Amino acid sequence: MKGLPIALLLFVGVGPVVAGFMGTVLGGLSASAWHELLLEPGLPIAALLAIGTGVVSTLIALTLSHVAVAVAFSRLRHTTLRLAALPTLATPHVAIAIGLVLLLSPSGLVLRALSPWATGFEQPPDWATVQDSLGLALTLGLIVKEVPFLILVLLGALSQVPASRLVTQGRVLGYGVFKTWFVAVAPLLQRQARFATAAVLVFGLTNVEMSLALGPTTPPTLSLLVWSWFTDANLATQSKAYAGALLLLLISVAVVGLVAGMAKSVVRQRWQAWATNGDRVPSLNLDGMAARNASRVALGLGGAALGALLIRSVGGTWRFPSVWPAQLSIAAWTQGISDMQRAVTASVTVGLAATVIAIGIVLAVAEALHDSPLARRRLAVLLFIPLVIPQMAFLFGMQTMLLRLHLDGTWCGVLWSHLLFVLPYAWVVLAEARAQLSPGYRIVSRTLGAGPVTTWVRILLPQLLRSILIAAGLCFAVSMTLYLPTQFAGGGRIVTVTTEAAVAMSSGDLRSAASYGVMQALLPLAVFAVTAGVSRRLFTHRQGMPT
Amino acid sequence: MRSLLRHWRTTAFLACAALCQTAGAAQGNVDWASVEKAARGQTVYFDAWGGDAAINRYIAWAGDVVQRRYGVKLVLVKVTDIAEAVTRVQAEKAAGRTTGGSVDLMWINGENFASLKAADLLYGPWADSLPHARLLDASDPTQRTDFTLPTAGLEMPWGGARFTLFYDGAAIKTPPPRDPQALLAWIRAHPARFTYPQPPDFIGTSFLKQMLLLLAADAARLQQPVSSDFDVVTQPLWTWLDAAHPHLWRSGRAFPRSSPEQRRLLGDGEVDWLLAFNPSEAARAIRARELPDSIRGVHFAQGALGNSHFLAIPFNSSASAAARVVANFLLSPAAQARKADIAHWGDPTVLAMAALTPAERALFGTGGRDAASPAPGPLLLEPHPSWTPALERAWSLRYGAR
Repeated sequence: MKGLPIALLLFVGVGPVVAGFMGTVLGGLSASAWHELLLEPGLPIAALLAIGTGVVSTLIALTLSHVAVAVAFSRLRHTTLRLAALPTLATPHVAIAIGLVLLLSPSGLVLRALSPWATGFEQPPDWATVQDSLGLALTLGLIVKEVPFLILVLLGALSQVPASRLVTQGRVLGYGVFKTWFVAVAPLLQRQARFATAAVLVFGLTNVEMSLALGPTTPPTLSLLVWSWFTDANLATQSKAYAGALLLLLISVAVVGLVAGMAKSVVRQRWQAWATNGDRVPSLNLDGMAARNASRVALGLGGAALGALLIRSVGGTWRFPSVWPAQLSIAAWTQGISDMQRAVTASVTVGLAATVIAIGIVLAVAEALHDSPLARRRLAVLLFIPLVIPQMAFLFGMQTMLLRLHLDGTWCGVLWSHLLFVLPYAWVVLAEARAQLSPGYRIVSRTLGAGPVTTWVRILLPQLLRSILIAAGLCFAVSMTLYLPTQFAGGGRIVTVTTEAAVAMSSGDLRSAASYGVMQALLPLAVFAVTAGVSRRLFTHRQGMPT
Repeated sequence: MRSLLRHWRTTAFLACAALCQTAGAAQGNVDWASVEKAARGQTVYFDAWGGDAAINRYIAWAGDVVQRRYGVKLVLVKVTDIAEAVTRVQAEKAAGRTTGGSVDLMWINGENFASLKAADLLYGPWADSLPHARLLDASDPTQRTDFTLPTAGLEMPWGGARFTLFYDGAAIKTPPPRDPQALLAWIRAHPARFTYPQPPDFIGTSFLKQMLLLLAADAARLQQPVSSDFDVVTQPLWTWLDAAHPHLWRSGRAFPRSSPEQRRLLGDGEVDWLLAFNPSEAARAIRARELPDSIRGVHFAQGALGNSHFLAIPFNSSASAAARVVANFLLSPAAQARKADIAHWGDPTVLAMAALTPAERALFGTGGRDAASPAPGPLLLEPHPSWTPALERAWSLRYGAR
């Protein structure tokens, strides 16, 4: 009986990845495909760009997130920080990227606000402030998008770390807030957040959406090259694309392995030296201040990008250097109202179904494995595969699998593809929460004569409820952001807010793209609001419930 | 290069074979009433580039009419690039799905048609047997050959296109350049105000073909497949681009990714030019308030690269009868007139005005031209499709990585 939910979880959450990955390996294992791939002009630069932007953005985002969490912790402002992170977290990558272009490009809002009175520009200058050849704009975009995600992960992991005790001890010994945090708390937190960090790193290395808007073009990043080959109608290009996806996978594995290895050796030694050198100079706090402002800027830029998008969605023609569009029109919102309704319906039904199914399966498995930490860890590794390998490495193969099962282009097919990405998040939140419940409750309940079902429903479930609500918000938000999986499984027949935004974006129709982008942010925010409200109502008069 | 050549030789052979086949089939009498009867109740999944709200509304209108008139349900499947649908049909073939395919009707031309035709993934021939096919403009060479490949009745002409340059009349007050040397002189005099979408974007590659047709010593050579003289034939194009690139937007180190992205750059004032295939593009964008009303269109004096875009039915469609009914309706004078109207889409018709009744002709309005669209001029035919990947590869070797 115990094995059934585990088998189901593996079948739903891991099966398609394995099948899809096999398809890619078979498609990409030809000498001629690799020959073609290696002859591609600019391939080394494209690969270096992917590695550089991915690694640098992850390191900076991770630092800023730790700083933000440290500050919030020392001032008991978790909730404020969580709220500040939500809008950017809920807004899809495409929308943030386009918002940043509207903000930072030479004809963007920043230069419009300064022109011509301060800059003297009557025409936008020919500056590469976005799509620069070093990928700086892309790095910035990745940081802006990943900081909120990492902040929420770290905040979530705080409950599993004795942070208060460690901070107090450090302070008593005369260390500043930042040194205490980075020496005593951060390594423990980072241990909890290592899968999430790996996911961020791999996303940085392999993303398509952000480099499309912000990345360089001659050459683009490797992932964008591979993506353009996959969407080429010429069959010969397809095998080059499979080989490219494998190369992307190899690079991801190598980089993640290298970073993890360095964290265990060089970084650990430096950290230990720093922890034991007894240095208590307050100047470190100043560095901390700069980093703190940087994390504020990162969160602020996300909000500003969303604002720029909103203005563009109602703006008509808009010549530089006007700060405000010449005409305002809500046509983009009103003309496509029936398309919008259809897309919202699909997004919400798929998102809710994926959330409910994922939470159901994970609760059953978490119950079965609550006293076997080793099995839980192994399962977590399997479940995280879809997040830590490039999506392109298995989605094309998975499409063929759905095709054979006659599930392509169906609502169920899309639901399944979403579950791959939703399940690991549900697992992260719920499996540990269940394992940490004191076994005493169950034993007492069973001793008093309650059956296993009654015990679970009346004793364990209420204690898990808050975690379930958090997981629900997170799962729904993840489902909302999925573009490639929806496109592959849905084949264009299942239209969600995210796919509509991408179609509008690809055609340069920024106004409808912006309206869909705003809707994409609003839906998960609404779900977060509902779960927070329910949580507050349920727990106001109950003390001592696990948070 | 050699494998590419072989590929196109096979294509040419298949094309001839298909052509001979059509000659027989097109004469065969199709009982249209029985097609309409079979179509009733079927659903047509129509895969089309879905990036333009005006086009989507036009297709929704057509969907309403065919539902009412023929009992056919038309579902628009929006794709960001029709190549996505082509790869989906290829994947279905690989997975052995010979019926019940996910695509019933698709909007294609050029290399996508060539790919599907070469792999024998198209239903038909069917296009010549449509009742409205007799209204097509037989004098338009782009309707019978798609990038030099015979359509062989495997696809139906839906609309015409001419490569058009749009410029900002508020910034360029003198008559605009209309030949490559004048354009180069303008670009040199106005640094960072001209650019083109980065090949292999469809419009970007079309720009390369348009310039090559104007600059090549022997433009007729381009009607034949690429061979070992590629470097010699294309040298004038690279000379022109080498001279122009340092003076382009971002000094030619970055390019817009698509024509719509360039439209935003023009609208915001970052550049003064936009390249597009639909001569009414600016007129429509001005109506939609995406561009200021100072935009004007111009063709190269020697001629504009022109082609038609088509509708095709994949081999594994289970609704081919309904797909043909929809296609026939889209070819009707009423549907073509609405499509040509810039209030709806502004896409040039493929019908011969002489073949229409006076009442049908009247649907197309008085023929008055809006200020933003250029006057029709000479036509330059698309090169053989093998030039497309060859030009894209050569461009990317020269300018794609620096």
